[in-house]
Amino acid sequence: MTAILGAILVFLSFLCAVYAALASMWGVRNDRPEFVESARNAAILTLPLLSGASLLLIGLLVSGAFQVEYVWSVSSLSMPDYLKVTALWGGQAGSLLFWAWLMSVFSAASMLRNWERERALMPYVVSATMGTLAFFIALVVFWENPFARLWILPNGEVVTAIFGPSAILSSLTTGYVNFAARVPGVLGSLLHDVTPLAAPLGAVPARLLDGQGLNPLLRHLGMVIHPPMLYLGFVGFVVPYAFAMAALATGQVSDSWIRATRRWTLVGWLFLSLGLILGGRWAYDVLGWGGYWAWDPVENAALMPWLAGTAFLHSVMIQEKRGMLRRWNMVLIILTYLQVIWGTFLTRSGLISSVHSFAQSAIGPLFLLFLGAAVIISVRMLMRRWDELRSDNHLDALLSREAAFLLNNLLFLIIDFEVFIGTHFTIFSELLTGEKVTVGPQWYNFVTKPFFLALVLLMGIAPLVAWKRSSIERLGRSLILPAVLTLVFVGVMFAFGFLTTGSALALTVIGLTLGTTLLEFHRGAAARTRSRGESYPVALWTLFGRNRRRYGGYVIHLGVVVMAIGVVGSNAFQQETQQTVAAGQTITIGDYIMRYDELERFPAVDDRTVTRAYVTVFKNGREVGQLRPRHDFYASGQPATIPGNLSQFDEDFYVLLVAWEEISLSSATFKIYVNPLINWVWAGGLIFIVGTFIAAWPDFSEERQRAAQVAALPAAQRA
Amino acid sequence: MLNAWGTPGRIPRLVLISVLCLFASLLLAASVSAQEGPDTGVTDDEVNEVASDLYCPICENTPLDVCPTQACSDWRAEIRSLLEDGRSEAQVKEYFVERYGVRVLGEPPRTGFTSIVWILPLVGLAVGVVVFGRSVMQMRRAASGSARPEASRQPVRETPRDPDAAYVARLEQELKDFSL
Repeated sequence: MTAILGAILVFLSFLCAVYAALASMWGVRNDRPEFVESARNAAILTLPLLSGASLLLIGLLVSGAFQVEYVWSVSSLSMPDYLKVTALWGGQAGSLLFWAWLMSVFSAASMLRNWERERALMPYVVSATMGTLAFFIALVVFWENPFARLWILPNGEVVTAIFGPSAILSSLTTGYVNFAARVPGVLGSLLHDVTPLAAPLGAVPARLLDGQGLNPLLRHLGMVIHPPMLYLGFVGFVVPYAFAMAALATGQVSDSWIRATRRWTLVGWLFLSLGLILGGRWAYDVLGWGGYWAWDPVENAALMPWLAGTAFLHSVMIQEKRGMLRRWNMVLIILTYLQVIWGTFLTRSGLISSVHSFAQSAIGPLFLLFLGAAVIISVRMLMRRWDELRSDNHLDALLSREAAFLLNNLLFLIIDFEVFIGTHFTIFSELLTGEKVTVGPQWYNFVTKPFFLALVLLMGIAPLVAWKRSSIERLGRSLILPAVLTLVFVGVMFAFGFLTTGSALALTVIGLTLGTTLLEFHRGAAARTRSRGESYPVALWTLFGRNRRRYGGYVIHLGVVVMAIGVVGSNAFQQETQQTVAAGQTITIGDYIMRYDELERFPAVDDRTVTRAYVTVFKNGREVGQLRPRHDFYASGQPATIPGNLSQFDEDFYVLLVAWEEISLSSATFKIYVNPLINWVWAGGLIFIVGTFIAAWPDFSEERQRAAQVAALPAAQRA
Repeated sequence: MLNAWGTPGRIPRLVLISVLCLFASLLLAASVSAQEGPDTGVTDDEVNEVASDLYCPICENTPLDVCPTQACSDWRAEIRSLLEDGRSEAQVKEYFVERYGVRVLGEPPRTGFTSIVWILPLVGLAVGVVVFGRSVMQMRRAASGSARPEASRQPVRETPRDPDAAYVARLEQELKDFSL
């Protein structure tokens, strides 16, 4: 019953989304505001409907309704309850429903928030968001229905269908299947893949006692939080895209769409960044290779829209400030949106199989169809308004903030392009030569490193460059102190042999940027102290309060610098060794000695056999901790290597249990990494997120003011 | 470690003890049967050094040195025996490429078809720089071509008399421009 109700709710939300997308467009074109209003209501209605459906699916997962195919495939009785809940996004069908649900949250919020102020744009915003949403719900309703149940035919065959056998529905389903079988080609197979409405007559419900359970690698807190963050980031970027499309459709291509969506962009960006950072942490904690970023295609799928979105985030500032780059910003947000859809496609279709691609299905062609349509519509809309998107201003000087932002865009897009090439090259290769190739981290690091370094350098210099025009002398004056300090520091480190040439170069750039970023805080605060007589902390506080976006942005820059130090440290100075030792023996690596104490083996919850080693770690002769690296072997045959990690401010001691003497458990093989400065990566990530919060946090007093202004306007003017 | 050496006169004895300890531990280590194959002089680190650049065709995107599956363990054993036979790192990689194709290499070869993946970033860079340069030129030309009363009214250099007040004023001005 619950499953049927869920299927009905999803179907109703599909109708709402389709109706909203069409009625809104029709209403505004034919000057029938009542249709626009009703479209908005339908759009908002998708939120309670999809919420209901998602909650029902969670209910089915928690109660262990294994007749529901999705529940059977991603959960099992032995799983803890919180994992049963989060299994909502543990598989294909649930992920898509979850995506749609989040999308409905964002679109409803944007309608409630921006309706009065952006009256002219909103009808098209409804169309664009609901068009996207309708596509995702369509996938859920017709191809990947999480509420479909398993039925057993009299001949023992197991089939999937939403409803049980009934005279009318079953014959309808049979008729449809016969029809689909006659359609040739891709369309035929798409029609054939549609989830059957009803089971054939005579079928009985499959009574399954237990499910398959979630992929063991996903049973980790990081993996529980990571996908929702990425999805929130993805759907967050759909809102600015919808506003951009609305601006193009209405011809209101001035800058109001940018202002209306600035915060949405930041919210989407915040979640995407969080998702990437948490994904890295998950990899470090669970995947057991001693690193946090492997340039895996699915990581790249989230990184690509992040790169384009970051370029957009910077580039809109030129438009707000100087009325320039209007066309370019449109191109960037369209590019970001397409990469969001493409990224979802990559993760959901299993096109490029990777450790993350747990979900494989036949929805690929549908995504390609949708993407193609999105490209054509976006480009056509952009072309229509191309001339109206002229700049108000010109570039006054090559050494100016505007030019620096342009350079930032260039660097982000080059990296984006490189990641795209690397991610897809294996497909090109397979298509053209029939042979798959691997494009590993070695390639990515090699090709992206110079551009990341250039970005860090630009991040240090650009904030010092004034708008319109700046002079070399002025820039030089601001740079001299950080430059001297950095060169002395790096020079000394280099002279004493702590650094390689490459890491010295990287640290020089990072140090310079760190210096100028800190100096930027100091200059603002010091100027306030002197001219306004505020005490230093108050001045700093007011500075943040008065211009959160600017200083939030600098905090983000600071986070990036701290992360960069961590990345350089953990890459350039990582030590590793692998050795086999008997109980009581030790392994020495760097300043550390690790003693292997004992090994134990026991069955554990979730149908796994755990092999766990106890080791004691000494640093410079002093005991610093005990670790328990372990190896989980799931009944499904999948292994997982969970590291033991001793995390300290300056470095991590990270040990993996690689192998052991099966019978006597007397000896074991360990792989040890000493990862210097890796905590700086996480600390930098934290600073980064705090900065984004500072920049994105709504200003309530300002909003009240603005709301009052809007309310004071005569009704005629508002519309 | 250096500070543990003590006075110069004691160095030889310490060296002797260390060497003995090292020897003893080597003997002990040899008595433990190594997991990833018999211990014959090729260390796990040397095997991993080679393995970290290789990928088995089954466990995509997991380098061979950290892959926990049995198949990868077998491959590592194979690397070990090849190294024991005296083959160099390059020869071992060549051996695997011959048997399983170029996909085993983490870094695509810079020759043949896969050279494309190395060339494309350069093409992207070139196109990017050209587009960037051209649009900057265009924006600059438009700037010099049009009369700019706005620019002449606002002197770029700020009055140097009170730089702090000017800086705060600029911050406030930028705040106003951005406010929303």
